[in-house]
Amino acid sequence: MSRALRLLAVETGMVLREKLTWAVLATLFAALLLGAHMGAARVDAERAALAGAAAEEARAVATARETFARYAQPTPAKINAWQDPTNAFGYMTQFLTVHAVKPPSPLAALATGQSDVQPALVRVSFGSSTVFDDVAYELGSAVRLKLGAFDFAFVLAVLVPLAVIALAGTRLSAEGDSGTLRLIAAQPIGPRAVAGAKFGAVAGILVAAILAQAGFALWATGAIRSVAGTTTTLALLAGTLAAYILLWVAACALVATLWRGAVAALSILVLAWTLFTVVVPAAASLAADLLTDKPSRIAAIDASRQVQDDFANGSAGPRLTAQWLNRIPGAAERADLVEAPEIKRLARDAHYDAELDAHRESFRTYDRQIAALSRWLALASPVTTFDFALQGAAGTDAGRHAAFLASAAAYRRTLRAFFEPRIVAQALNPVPVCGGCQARLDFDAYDAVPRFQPTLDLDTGHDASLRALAWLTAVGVGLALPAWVRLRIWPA
Amino acid sequence: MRHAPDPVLAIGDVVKRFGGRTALDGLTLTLRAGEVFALLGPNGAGKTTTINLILGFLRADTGTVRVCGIDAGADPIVAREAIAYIPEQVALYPGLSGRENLRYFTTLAGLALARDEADRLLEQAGLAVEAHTRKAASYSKGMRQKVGIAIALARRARLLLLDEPTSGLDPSASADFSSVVRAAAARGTTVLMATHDLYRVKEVADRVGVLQAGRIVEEIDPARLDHAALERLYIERLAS
Repeated sequence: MSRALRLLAVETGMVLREKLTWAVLATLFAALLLGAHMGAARVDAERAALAGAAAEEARAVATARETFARYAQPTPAKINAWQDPTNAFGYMTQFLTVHAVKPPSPLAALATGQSDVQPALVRVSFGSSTVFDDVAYELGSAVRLKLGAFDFAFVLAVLVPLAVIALAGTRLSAEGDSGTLRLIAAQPIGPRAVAGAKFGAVAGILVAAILAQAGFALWATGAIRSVAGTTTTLALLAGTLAAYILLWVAACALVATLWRGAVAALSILVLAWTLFTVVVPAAASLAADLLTDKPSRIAAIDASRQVQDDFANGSAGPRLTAQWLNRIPGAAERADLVEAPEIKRLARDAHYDAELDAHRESFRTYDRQIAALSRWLALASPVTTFDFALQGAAGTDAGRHAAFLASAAAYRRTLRAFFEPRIVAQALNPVPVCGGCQARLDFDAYDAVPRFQPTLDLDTGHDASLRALAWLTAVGVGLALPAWVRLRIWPA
Repeated sequence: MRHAPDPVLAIGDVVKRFGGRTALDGLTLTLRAGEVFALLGPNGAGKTTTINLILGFLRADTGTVRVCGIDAGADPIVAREAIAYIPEQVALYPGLSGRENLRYFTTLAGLALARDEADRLLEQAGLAVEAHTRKAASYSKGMRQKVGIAIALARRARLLLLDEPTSGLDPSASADFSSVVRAAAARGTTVLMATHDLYRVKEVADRVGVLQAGRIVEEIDPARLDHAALERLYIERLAS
């Protein structure tokens, strides 16, 4: 066995004999178990909410069918359109219960990401006029202060560097303080070989232990139930985690080469951790806000009120409704329809769309800009770089949420496109189910109502992990190189 | 024609400055195999700088430092192959036993020491057997120094550098130390010791150099003087 390998083995043995090593690894393991459990619990709650929404949808259809059957009997009683499931407009506005959903990805338990502040479930309804897409959320900058949920990503991105600093931060520096370094340096060996063995040993132990602990924690808590279809992402994440650990070990090595002693080394490293965990993300968030032109929701709401006022008061409403009817074949000559509530509603929504689309587009543009900018700004800190990789793999990142909200809005348009011709057809030519029935029209295509099709693009996780792996490796090499250069000679 | 072998240590007209302060000012010293040379001098005279130059931790501004013919400034790792160094405070890893410390430091030197071999060397250095497996955290200074001696013995170095070797040792440990130095010299090891201990100098040194303001101002043959005369001469040189 070569001297380098023998030395690495000896140093590994020494690190493993230190009580601090086991204390740090045990604490980290407990934190990983807790983080994985929190993630698993959150995902279970999300799945339960989605299952509840699906059950609610099924119940609503069943209720519509029951109502249809109950009212489809001859009777002198009359019911309103909004109580009538055979009326397409009544069904759309009162009975329809559908949701746009963002199901958790197979790796969702890895990172809470934006899930605490962004919806995974949007109820799409037409009960009242909506200017915006039934979403009361602002995406905002995703590189906000990273001290949120105590989840698996928090443990890996924020606490793992502290474990690395605890175990590697005083290598060489402590020997310098005690005087052992002088005896080491007097042997016929260069500082690079000694530092390589010391930091290599602690790096090897940390990478092996943390990967094993992380895998066990995810398995034991049920946070990841199956790796099918995610093995590539998981392998990339494991590589990214290893690169992240090595980056912090390289930082410890670089600080050790300042030869300022253990206290100074620990102080510098903890300051660096604080800088990259708190200060840089906060500064990046501020920069994101300054560099993007955030549209005013107040201004948009004000514009919507003006549009509503314009339509409701004065002659604009009937004129716009008549114009809207003119584009429908066979409807132009039906002046009576201008006052029909369903036609007024469809004409009004079309008018709102036309007048307010610029505002909506400004929000969509802002979402795209802030998401793209956040991806770049995250690179300013290894903590946010790694955190973004975990969020990307978990499918809880801001990008997926923005895409989900866009698809929820598209789903709303799809539903309107489904109902609109049926409502118009019933308005032009009402076909009673039976004479004297309460439920008097013929709409019963409840099962034909378009369902929301959730998407799950696992490639996004690959891209985020690959990007983080490449960047963290580059930064790690960037830290290791000056350390290597500075370790040319022993300090006197 | 037969050439004389290279001296084990050859310091030639070395000047070393730290900023505006001159630590060594034309130091010249040659030591041959088996010689014991004591470097006497007050604090700040340049003893530690001399040792740092020999170990290759510093490079001379001018002049040369050669160990067994190897330039210690240009090729310090190779030069240190021939050097064993025992600092004033032998700082071992407190969590390791004496034996483990010995095996660790010899591993650094590229040696793979078997357990029996390590125990034999520790015994040879005078460390009690019961202490071989005890953690170094409980060792006295003398015990730690014995581990340092064991490291030097394992290294079979040609040049033994000792920095204040008897400072803080009790008389018995100090006497043991003198024996070890003489035994090493008898095996052909060259010894350079920086010290204030005139008594031990008289006991073990073949030559004594008085270092003052970065140069050897007087070289003394201790065999020619008794302890009192040696002390008187040393004090006179420092006062002059």
